[in-house]
Amino acid sequence: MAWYTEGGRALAKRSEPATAKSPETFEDFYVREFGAVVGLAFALSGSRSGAEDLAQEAFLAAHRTWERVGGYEDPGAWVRRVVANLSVSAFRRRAVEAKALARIALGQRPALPELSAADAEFWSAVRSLPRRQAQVIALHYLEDRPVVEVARILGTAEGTVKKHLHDGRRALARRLELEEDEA
Amino acid sequence: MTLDTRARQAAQGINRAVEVMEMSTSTQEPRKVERFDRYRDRKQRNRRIGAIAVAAALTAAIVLAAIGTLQSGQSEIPSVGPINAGNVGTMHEIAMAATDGQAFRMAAGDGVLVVGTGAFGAKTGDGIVAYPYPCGGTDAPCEPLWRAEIDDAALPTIHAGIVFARGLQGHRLYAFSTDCGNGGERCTPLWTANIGRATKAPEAPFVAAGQVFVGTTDGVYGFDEVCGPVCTPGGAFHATTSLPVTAIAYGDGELFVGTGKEGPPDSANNGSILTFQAPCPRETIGCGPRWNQEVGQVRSLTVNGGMLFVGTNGHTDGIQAYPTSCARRASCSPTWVAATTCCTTLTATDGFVYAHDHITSTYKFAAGCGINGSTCTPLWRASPLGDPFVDFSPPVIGDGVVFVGGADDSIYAFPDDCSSSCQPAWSTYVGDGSGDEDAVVLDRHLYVAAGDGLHVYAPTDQPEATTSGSTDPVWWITAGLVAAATVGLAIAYVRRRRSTG
Repeated sequence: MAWYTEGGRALAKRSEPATAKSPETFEDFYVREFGAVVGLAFALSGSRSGAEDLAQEAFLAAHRTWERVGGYEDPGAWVRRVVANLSVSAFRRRAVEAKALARIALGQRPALPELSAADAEFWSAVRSLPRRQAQVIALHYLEDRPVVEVARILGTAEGTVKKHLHDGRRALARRLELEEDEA
Repeated sequence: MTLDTRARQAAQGINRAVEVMEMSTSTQEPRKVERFDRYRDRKQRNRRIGAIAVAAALTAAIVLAAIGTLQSGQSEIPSVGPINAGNVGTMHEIAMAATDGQAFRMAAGDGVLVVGTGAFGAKTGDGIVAYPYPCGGTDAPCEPLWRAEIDDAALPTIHAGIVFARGLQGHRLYAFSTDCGNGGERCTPLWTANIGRATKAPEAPFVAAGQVFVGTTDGVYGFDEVCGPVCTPGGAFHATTSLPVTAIAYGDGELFVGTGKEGPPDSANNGSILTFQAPCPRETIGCGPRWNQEVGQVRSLTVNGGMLFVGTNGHTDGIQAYPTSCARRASCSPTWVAATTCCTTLTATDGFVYAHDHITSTYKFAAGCGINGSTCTPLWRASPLGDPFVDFSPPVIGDGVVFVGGADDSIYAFPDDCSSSCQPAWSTYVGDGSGDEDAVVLDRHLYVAAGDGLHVYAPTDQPEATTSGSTDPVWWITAGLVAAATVGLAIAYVRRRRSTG
């Protein structure tokens, strides 16, 4: 499980256990965050069938270490970083998608509905960006998170996030032939 | 419209999609958590199976090594005679060659074994690596003869001294000489050809009637096997299809083309079989399609003994058998059908059809098991092997043995003459990290493409000991201690997982 360990360590350093508040149960955390994390996985992977499995994989990682992760100030940030890393790994995505497709075929669960053509085009353009830019754009727009939060989730400096956001926005505007807003 | 406005609209689109998904399953919180519990339980079960398989494999390897040393004192493991039902239980790994990318699909012939690899998100690794064939054990070492890069995870095939390869979603077809090198050097292609965009279906190029055919998102391209440095744009043969091409087969002068909509498996009629005369110059009118039959999403096609066998993503008609003479008719009905679960891959031999479906069940049917569209029952069916999965290689048939890959990253061997409830005669855990197809080819050795590279297995087939080996009890004691420690560690791991799960 080396794909999230390093990020997890970095995030743990930034999110010291919150001693003041009583830790949330994993079940409550899962119910509250699951939909948003599926959305992030969908945006970054483009897989209607595999997004839920990518999210489940991230929550499973959190569940295994909930004693520690549950004590973080923001476990949601931790699980988002895991899903962001999973979603941009093409190999992992393909394996997860293949299994998810099979369960859909068995009627065990539905795939996410198709996006409108315009929305699909937008997220496809996001996924064509370098992976860090795609992660920053998705976290910024999908969850309306400010730069400081995106930096905390991705375990990087605010300045780096600003640069990725700037470059990503410029590339997107060019590809989609849109006007770039004033930053 | 500005970028911000468009981005926020697109974000709302995803949030709505997630809401619809949640509403279509259940909005009740306990049900939501139950879904997670099921997912977690499944993953934990797979980890337990993996741990036990590793322990068993290590134990077997240690014991076999000890026995081998005691019996003959030989340092090289003999690998003589073909794999068969009598010796498959003694199979063990005789060689392993790590690959740069994830080993993905393979082909063998003309003295080379070619492994297609995929980067799957890493910076490098899309390409093919050629090894001597056979290799491992007392044969040549499994060290690369040559390697080449291509434009996506590679799907190779070999015919008449040429390795043809395409990328999983690549844009070019590549042809390499099988004797391109012998020192591991990088190889340049004999020729390449533009093919638009290849389909996601993990099917290698298909060679028939002097041409090599490739399925794409909009049809089939055929190129002369012997082409110039850059082949005719568009190919010597091109047939357009309304859906992506997922499988190709050839028989009785006809090219059978299977199509299917990309995306989640769907039992609705969104895939067909079409036939074309082949070879057929691209300017010729009347090459086809002659027969166009809706069969559902096609996953696999194979022709044998005048019959076309179709593996689909359907359930009640997961396998459909037609006479190849259907190719020249306007309409045709199946000779027989059989129920599999979905996403069925097929291998046909003289008189039998073997199937592998996405719950990784394996089936054996008599090729003539039905008439007039009747529903066939299998001669035997093997138990499901791990999680559902989609993209498996078809079964590989040996001398009285059927090999299939399992979703638990293992390879299983079943006796060809199995009873109705078939149990594996042999299995081995290939390795974590593949999570993908386990491709196999067979000779005296079993070659497996796994996530970390090429694995080679062979039966022990120990000859009678000609010299008395060491009877030093230290060997047995050491082997026993290591085996016990391995099993103990595996049990401790499982117990810990259970207690923390």
